[in-house]
Amino acid sequence: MKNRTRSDELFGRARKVVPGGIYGHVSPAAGLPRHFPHFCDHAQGCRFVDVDGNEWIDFMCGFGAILHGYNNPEIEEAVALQREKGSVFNQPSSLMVELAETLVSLIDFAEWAVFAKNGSDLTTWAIRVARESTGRPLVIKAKGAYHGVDSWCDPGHGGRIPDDRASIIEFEWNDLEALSSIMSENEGKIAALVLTPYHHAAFAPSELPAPGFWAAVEELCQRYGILLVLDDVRCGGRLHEGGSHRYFGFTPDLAVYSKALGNGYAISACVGKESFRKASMEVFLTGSCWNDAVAMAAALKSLELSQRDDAAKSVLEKGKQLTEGLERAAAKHGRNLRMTGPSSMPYPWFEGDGNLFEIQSFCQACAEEGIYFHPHHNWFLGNAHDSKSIDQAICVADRVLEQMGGEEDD
Amino acid sequence: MTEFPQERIVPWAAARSIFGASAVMGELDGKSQKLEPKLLSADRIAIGSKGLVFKQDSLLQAIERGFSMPELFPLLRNPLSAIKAISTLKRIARFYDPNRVVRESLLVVLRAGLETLSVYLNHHPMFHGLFSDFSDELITFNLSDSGSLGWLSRSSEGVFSAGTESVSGKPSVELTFLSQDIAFAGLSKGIDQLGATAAGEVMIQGRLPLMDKIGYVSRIAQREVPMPAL
Repeated sequence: MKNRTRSDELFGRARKVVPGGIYGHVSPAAGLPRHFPHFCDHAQGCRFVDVDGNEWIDFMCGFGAILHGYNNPEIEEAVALQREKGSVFNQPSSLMVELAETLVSLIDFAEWAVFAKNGSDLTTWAIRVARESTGRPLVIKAKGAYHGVDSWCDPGHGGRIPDDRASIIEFEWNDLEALSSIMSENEGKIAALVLTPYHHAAFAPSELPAPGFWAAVEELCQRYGILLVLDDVRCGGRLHEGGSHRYFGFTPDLAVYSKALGNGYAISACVGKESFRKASMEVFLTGSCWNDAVAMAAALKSLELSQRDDAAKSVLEKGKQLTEGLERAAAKHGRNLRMTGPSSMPYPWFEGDGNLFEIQSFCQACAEEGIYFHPHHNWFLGNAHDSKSIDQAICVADRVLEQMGGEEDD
Repeated sequence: MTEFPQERIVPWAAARSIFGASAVMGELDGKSQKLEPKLLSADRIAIGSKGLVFKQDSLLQAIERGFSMPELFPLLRNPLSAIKAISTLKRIARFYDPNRVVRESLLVVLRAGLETLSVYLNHHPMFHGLFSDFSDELITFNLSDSGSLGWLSRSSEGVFSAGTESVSGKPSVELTFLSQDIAFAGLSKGIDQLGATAAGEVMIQGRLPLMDKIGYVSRIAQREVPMPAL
């Protein structure tokens, strides 16, 4: 077992002053509580070192926030330059204008952009813009899809009243018939359809859009006058530089980005078509630090690197190397491992492992050898991953799969 | 799930916890009376087959304060049976003594808690539909190095039930307490659902989203349904 003395000591202290010690998606309870470290000390490229000095090859990239590698020198330089000038002022800095211009030029349908700190800030705001624009109350989302921490969509149970979800209707991803029925049965009442580019639920294999799905979704939204809101918070930057809608070939009305946008600096953005500019101005939006110039400097540099390095294509290729290598290794040892979803953000799924014991054992064993594979959440490739780190991970996985034996041995 | 009068959920859950505890005691000593409860009209609940009938509020008081007056007529009609049932109730309370925790206490307290939980899962309107994504499920509760303590299952029809005896079938979730003391504290006061697994006090393997939901319901049940006072 890896040394986790300091991790446990810190957790003991945290537990006294923070409810649950660590909460949310990074709570140890959501991962492998006795195999992953609780606290990180520093990180560089695709590796991080925990507070006990254990080094890890990371395949979560700060749950997607890191696209160009931890502590990327070019981004850190841009950040340092801005930090000398300051971060939050009474007024926005010129970087807000530059960043909005950059997004509008990068994203084909975007005519305007606004900024906040988290994905949730703007997914919730986007549905309010849709309501303002249409004068309608209802919102459709895919069942099991994550759109943030607000009460209309959070995956928890507490602190909720029935009214929180009274105007939310769910359908199963890819079930166009159900979607069409919902729209026709509620004609004139639906403001928005909020979707992720593909279905990346936790604890389940990812589902890509079925052939014709997005074209049909666009057609249905147009037919019923419903705004199509793309939640590109998780995928943004990892499928296409111009937004994930380009990867799947459709056009939303509004789109929300965060995670990889600032390469680890907290920022989110919502962009929209011209026709929703007026509605967007009617829905109040603000936050004390939302014009944080440091995060905007990071986002500008991150977007520049994404274009220069063709980052989306690059992480898809790197992901392909990883996913094909893992699937081959599993097959060699009699395991049916499917790496679902796009290769730059794969979700691992052992066939027949609905209760997740197998994936948990696999990830635990890999963790013991310093490979950070999450058993319940899609992984993230970053542009700092290289052939060496990927090969090393495949090599460890191969050994672990060999030790686990074939399915007939279970 | 079946319609169930909401105001009867807490007392019925308490009555079922008595049944669960007495059932385990019967399995352990071979003589304790199994106190199967029955819902009667006019807010009354029978504890055991005859003799002991409480008003709902009195039953909750009996559990919380250790004593409450049962209805007189049934008691007078079956005094011996009623006294045996009262004696079993008194012995159940002893298993909740934190200073005398043994493996048997865990079996009794866990089963009582799982029976309470089953009532909430089966009948509480707040949780209708919460488990629609799940089918046949089995959750096993274990003590590290000493095996199974009990189980909770969900049938394909959506009915939850609990047991103590060993059960066949692959679990959907395995919850293992690190030690007897941790198990008792968790079962009697509640588990810190975020901290306990991180600290290694409790290990949960398998289908976490199922356990997440079960845990949420169990915390509400634990908050609302009284446990025996000493």
